[in-house]
Amino acid sequence: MKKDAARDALVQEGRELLVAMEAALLQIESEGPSKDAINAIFRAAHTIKGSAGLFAFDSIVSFTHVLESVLDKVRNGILKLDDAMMSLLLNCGDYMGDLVDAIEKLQEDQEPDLARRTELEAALNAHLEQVAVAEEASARGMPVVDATGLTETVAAVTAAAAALAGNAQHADVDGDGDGEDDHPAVANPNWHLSLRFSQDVLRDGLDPLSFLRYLLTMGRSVYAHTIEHTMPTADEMDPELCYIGFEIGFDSNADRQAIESVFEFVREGSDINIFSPHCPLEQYRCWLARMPERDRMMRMLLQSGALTDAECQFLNGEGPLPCRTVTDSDAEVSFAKTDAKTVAKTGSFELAPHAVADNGAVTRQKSGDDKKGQEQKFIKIEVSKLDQLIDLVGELVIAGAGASLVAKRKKDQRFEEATQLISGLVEQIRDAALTLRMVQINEVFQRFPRVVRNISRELGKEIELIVTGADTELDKSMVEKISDPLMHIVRNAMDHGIEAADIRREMGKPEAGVLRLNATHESGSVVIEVFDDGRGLDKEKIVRKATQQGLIAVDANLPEKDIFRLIFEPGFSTAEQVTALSGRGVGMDVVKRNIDSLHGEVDIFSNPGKGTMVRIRLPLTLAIIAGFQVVVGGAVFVIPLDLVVECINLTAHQVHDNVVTLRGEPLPFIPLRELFDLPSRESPRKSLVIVQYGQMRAGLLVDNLLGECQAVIKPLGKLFSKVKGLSGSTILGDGRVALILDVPHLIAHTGQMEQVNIRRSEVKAEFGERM
Amino acid sequence: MPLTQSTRDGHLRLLVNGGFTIFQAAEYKPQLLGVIDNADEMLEMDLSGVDEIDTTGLQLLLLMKREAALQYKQLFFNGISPAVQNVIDMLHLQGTFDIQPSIQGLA
Repeated sequence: MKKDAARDALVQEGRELLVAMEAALLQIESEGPSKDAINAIFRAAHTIKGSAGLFAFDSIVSFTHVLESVLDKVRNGILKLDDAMMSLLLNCGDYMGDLVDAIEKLQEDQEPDLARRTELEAALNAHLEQVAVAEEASARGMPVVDATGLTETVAAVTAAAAALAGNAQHADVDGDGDGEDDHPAVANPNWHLSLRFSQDVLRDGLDPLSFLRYLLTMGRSVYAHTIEHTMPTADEMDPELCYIGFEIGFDSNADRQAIESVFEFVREGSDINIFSPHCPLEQYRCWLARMPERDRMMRMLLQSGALTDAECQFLNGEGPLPCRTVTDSDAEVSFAKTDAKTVAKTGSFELAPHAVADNGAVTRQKSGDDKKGQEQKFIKIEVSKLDQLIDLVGELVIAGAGASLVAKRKKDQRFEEATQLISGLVEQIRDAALTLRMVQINEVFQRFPRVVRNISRELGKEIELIVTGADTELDKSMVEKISDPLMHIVRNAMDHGIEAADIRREMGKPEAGVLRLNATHESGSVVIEVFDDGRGLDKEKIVRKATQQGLIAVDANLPEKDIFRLIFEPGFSTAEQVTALSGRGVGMDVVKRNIDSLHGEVDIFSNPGKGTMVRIRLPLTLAIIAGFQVVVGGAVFVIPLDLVVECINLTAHQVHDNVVTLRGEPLPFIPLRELFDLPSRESPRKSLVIVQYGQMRAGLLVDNLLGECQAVIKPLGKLFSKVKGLSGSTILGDGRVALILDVPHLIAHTGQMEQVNIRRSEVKAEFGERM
Repeated sequence: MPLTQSTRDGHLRLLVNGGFTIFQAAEYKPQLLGVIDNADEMLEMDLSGVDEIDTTGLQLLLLMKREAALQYKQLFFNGISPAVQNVIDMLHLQGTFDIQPSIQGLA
């Protein structure tokens, strides 16, 4: 059980990292290589490898290892990030995705695709070999570099001043030295020892000074600071306790183990940090972050030359404010004195192989911090828990409605007020609970840059992808289900819609095709649009094909919209040749089906030669809606409130054949009683609820209006899945069941009636074209 | 007495002899602080007789220096034994303690 949870976590993390990796690669492609992006890729690969290693998923570890080696060379600028490399890295990312999938399916023992793996590994290794050869060739140059190092050592004292002043000439020397600046290493060529002893060390018969004395048999101290501000005031100070600590620069050839062993006896209870020469700046950062009086420490390190000016700025730029203000001015002065002398005497020098304050390092640091911030901002919750919460909120809504009903009957004003307050809060809770499930549609959109890139390569077309409205929010379950349909539409647009470059040129269009993804909110629904500036749909061809396939009658005179809709029919394809991507006639029908299952709608608009737009309209959520209750023939129905435009008294208007003239415009309506074949009841007046879905309006004729309510949607059973006009059911406050009207279907129904009536009234046809 | 007080040129002078280690620390601390309290403006310390110093001794010296500064009194050192010099060199403390060879020359 526990291992499974860990496995899930690994899989999820892996996927997230792969997405990040892909995004970074694509960013490099669009904006050129940046250190940030390259590091993001490296980090992703590295983390996946590390996590997989924990669980001994060796397959992924060994594969990622090779990839990581290549990435390392890329990061160090040894290998170039050219087009071929980009593709290779993307493919490797994909294969890692496959490996992660295998882990999820508990099939990590099987290689998903051995041939592909071998191929990728061969390609990666080829790059590595190329580097090895190059390195060998340059190996002869190495001694020269060493000599430079020696010269610098001799010129140490001057160099120290130069480095502190940020001397440009010195920077030049650095440039010749080493190009690597991804893991900013400190310039300090000496060991840095930070020693804080346990207070009891003296009582234990150990004298820190004697350890230092021993240490100095292995080398010489370049600088030393005695940390005395940790000593309490004279009255409180216990002379037998050890308060002081040391910061020591140590020039030695001894290895880490030897240096560490010096302090072996005092290690317990002490805080001993040993930094090797040119160790990553990050180590200092971590250490300083947990040091009290960080500011003072920094100054000390700067003055002694342990860190350069630039390094300090870098650390300071991101670090938190000093923990404490200076309380002991005297100690401060004494430090300054020591430092001045120390630097002058020993000439603690800076070899500064590179300027650490370079922008890349700083920004990366920032992005790291941002990431940290995000971790604190988000909390991962199992979806099932969220669903449970929403279910409960649903029950609460129903119970609340019941309570307010009781209150109304009691005619107790204070009781009624109280229930009103409660229902107001319940409404807010409902909204808040539902927004928990909302995710940005970007989750889907972010896959498309990659898809577009790959397909445009495959087809040899140049396609630019523009994504807008990626922050539009949508129910999580919806996001998952809309991904496949969208993918189909996008592929279709690129394959069939956008023409090849030469044809585009002939037509006077820019060579690069444009594919646009857009998402917006519109009257209680989310609209997703996929637009391409390709050749558009060929109406005649569609009609011809459809007639051939017997989808429509030969003499059928369909409006444009319905013709376009034919492409959603199963097995329908107008493509002359079947490509790997599309044209087999499978796909668009799946798109339609998927969108239908989400209670959504899909429309196509096309302009020959100019482009095509596919518009998908989805309801915001599937769980709870604000509803409008109406009574028809004694039964209560609920209409989604978002779709209700207005209510009118029908008797006051002119009615003709289920069309009412409202403010001079014709509006078709449906008598619900007749539609559902409900018993007739005498009611003094008839009300018309006007609903709008998309750009279409229609009226619903009802007996009585009851007002707003919260409706928790309960799906209708399988038995009713074919019933049109109803989208679900809900439980009313008094326990009765109310059916929720499927407004989009009802509006479509008026359209059909209109087809029948089309010859009778030309005015109605105009309505059909209204969009 | 390992700690000897005397007066020279109108200022207090303290001579430390023998060990300046954890074995003496508890005993020395109040005495050393007392000397600072008693000093007028200047306190001279002669460490030439110190034949052994450890971390506690160093801590006491640092404490005295701090205490003197708090009382706006000058603490300077005249006469440093090799043992003390060794520690000062090791920890680069030359600047921390006001060591005055000139007065040593006069002595």
